[in-house]
Amino acid sequence: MKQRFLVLHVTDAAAPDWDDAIDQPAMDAWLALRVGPDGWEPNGQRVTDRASARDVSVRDGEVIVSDAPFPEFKEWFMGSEWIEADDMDHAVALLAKHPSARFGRVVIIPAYEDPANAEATRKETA
Amino acid sequence: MTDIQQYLLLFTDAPDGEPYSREADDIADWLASTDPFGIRIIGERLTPREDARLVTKRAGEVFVTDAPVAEFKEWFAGFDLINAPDLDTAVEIGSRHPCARFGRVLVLPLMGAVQSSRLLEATIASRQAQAAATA
Repeated sequence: MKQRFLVLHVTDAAAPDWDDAIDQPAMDAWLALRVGPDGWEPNGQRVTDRASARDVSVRDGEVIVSDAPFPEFKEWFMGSEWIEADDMDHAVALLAKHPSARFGRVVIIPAYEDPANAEATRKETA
Repeated sequence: MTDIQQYLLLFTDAPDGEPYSREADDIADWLASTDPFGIRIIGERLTPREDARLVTKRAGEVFVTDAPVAEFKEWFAGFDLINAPDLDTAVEIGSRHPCARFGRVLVLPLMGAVQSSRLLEATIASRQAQAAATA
């Protein structure tokens, strides 16, 4: 069974800058990627910079909204992507070719699959 | 600007958050206040830190790190992509999510519209099928 993953592209101050000669061909190849018989298309969502983000929490019934600099995040998010792969090793192999692995970092997080839901899907698609 | 904007909500844990309890988890209310109004595009729960990997490529060499601890003090419980007319509304929608109490919600505006994908659509369809099968 295929697994789905949230990919977070994050910055890395210590990484090299975007290099057109290296990263543009890698990005073109990524965007052309089609995986599996049904083929999922890359669907990277780029997010805006830290200054336009908000942190929201509720404590004792009170809504607390804060804005940058978010000191708990040294680096910031460049974007997200929703992918499917055979397993984590496959996901890692795919994302290792993404240019953001070179000029930033890539975090791959498996989606949680409720066993009861997986069963419901099997019945639905049987 | 009146165009509908899209936002990534990232839910993380937080040391000062309310301890999680199933009784206090009113996610069904949040879904009832978003799904019928076309607010939620896709949303998924995520697995614990130990299951995640960090991938970098430096000088041509690929590095894979288990359980990225140093980079993130707090870990991701889930995410949603939502539609909202502006940041204040996105913040208001995020504040009503139970994760705002159990942890916190990062509201990240997207640059441009959500890139559609068959996988996004397939995921949404399978979740709807699950909801119908368990209803």
